[in-house]
Amino acid sequence: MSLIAQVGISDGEDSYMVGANACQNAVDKLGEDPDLIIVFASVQYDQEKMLSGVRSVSKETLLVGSSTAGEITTAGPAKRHSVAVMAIKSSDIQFSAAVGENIAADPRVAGQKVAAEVRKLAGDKLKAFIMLPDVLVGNGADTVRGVLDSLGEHFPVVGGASGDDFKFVKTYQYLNDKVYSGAVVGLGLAGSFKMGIGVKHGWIPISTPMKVTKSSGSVLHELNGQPAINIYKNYFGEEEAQQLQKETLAKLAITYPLGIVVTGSEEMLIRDPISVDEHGSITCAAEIPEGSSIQLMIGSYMKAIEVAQIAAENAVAQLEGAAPKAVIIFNCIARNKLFGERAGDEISAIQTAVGTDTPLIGFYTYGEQAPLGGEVRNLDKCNPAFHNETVVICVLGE
Amino acid sequence: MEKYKKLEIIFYLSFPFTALWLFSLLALAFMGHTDNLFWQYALIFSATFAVIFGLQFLVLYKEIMSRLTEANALQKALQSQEYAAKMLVRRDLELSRANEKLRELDAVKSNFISVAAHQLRTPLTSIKWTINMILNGDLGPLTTEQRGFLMKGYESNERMIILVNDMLTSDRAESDKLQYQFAPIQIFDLMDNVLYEMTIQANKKNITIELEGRDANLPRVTIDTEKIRAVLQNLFENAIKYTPAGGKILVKVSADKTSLKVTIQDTGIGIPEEQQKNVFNRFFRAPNAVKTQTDGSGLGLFITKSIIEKHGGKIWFESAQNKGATFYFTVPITH
Repeated sequence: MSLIAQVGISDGEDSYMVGANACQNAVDKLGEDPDLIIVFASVQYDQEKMLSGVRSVSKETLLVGSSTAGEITTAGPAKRHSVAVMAIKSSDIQFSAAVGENIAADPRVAGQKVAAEVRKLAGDKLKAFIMLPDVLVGNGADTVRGVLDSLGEHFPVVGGASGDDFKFVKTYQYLNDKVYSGAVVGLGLAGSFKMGIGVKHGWIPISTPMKVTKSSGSVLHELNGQPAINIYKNYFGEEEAQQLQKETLAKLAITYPLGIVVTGSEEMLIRDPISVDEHGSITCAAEIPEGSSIQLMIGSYMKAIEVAQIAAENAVAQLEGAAPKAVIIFNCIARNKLFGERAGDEISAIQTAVGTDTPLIGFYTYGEQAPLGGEVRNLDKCNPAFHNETVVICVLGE
Repeated sequence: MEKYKKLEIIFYLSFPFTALWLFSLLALAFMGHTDNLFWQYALIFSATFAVIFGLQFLVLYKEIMSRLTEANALQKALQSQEYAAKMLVRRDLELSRANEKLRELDAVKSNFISVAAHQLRTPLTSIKWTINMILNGDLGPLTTEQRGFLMKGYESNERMIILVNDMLTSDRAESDKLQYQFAPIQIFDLMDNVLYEMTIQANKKNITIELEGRDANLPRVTIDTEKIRAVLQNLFENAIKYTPAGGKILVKVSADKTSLKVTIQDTGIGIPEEQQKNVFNRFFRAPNAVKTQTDGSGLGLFITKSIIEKHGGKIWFESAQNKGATFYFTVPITH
């Protein structure tokens, strides 16, 4: 059994060089030919050139990746726009990857396609699926649903939605030599290995529960028969609530997201308010079912740090004594905004559980995918969902 | 509404015993018209249960009323809690906005310092070279008095250059723009070099510097040599500056599995306890330090801490007023 991983990071002016340096850095440290390359990069770089740079080093090695709203490595959150690369070599895990395009046309079909393709390549030994979807062009929850259509309702799925440095214009996904947009890239892990998943957010309700009386997909129209925006008007006051109508994903609103009660998780499922229309309907980052009970949530630095560590401990506990060898983090951009300059503290808290030296890669996402409560050992209770404002920690061990 | 609720409760609770009382009256009425014992028994049973249910009614009524009062109080508490939550959120928003503004102002201030320092550096350098030329006699011979005054001017200008450089370095450190070049090194190669320079300064005040723990087998550390040189210089200069003549500075170097630790202990004026939390802040100088030495920008320890942390190390100190200060820093060992 052997699983080794190393991480490289680079920044600078020349997109090609930055990509090449980051990959060279990771591959040099690995000291062997990798089986898989994971790339998380800022949209500041010309995506094609950056990926060519990475490929100039990784050659034919299987590659998956995504643009981000901030890269994370073993050294913590990147302080500048960077390219982060993880090189993995394993004799026990067989990696396979595919892409589902045109999420804009039908996210569910794209999800079905990518998962079916990976399933075909990996065969019956497929144990876990990592997805990197674009959620700016289609409902992320539908993409997850599509993936589960192909893999089965209770299949371990984790992932993070691509970002674009908080611009919300266009995100990219990478598979081998090609840069996609509006797509979902999927990575299948087959063979005998141990994986732990930690999922937590730490937000707690601050308002009384309200019933979703009218919603369609990710658009929340009415709460308790009133325009949805009233929940923010009540708590923020008229003036601040108006800010939501002017600003996409207003900074203050994402520090007060909405929470939905779901079965199978001790924590509520979080939804980010993205924009508000003239009728007071709120478009969220993922769907909100009609009839569900919703509350305004509040978070704090202390609580968020505490749960990040608990999530990491939960992930490590699922390894059943195996040592963590590689860590992949999908962390919501809103958490980065909540932490501000102290974003590194959250990653340090995670590292106290997974080990400060364990190679770690991750990125700040526009939505996370993971089983509710991080359950992967009892597959009957493994119910993957689309999360917001949550930290998802995936630990591979041996 | 509450009155209606009360009547509703009374109605439901009193229903069984009212029915039994009515039945008792019925039994009593029938008893007068027949010898059948059934009505006598019925009267006894119904009257007994009517009394029991009556008592139960009283107990239950009291209990329900007290619970109802509690529920009302809870409802009110919940309402005021909700109101408080709204106020808390609004206060949080106000503070967040204020914090945002302060950050913007802080950025403007930092930018101002950076621009001002940059602008000052060029004229200061040209003053330095001008005075230097005059002192060298390039513009003709000088009287002793002229030379004395010019020397003072030259020294003051040098202090200004150091201050401006410190301001620029601290600004770069804060905005994470300091460039680092790490390379593995044996710490004593650097330490000996710094100690040589510092001993000259220390000798002027008759301060002795002792080095403990010289061990050529200490593991190597991967550091930016020039940056760690600046750290050592700063810590030694502080120790010399704030230690009275005839004092002593003790330097120790040790290592464990993961890091190398440098300790610099002096017998100086120390740092007052109430000021200790500010020591690594920009522009901070403890009052007893200002009294002892008018010179100093208050930037040295800020820069030092930033450099050490960039190396993945830690810096801390122990001190008490008039009892000296011991500064410690660590840097990770190269494996």
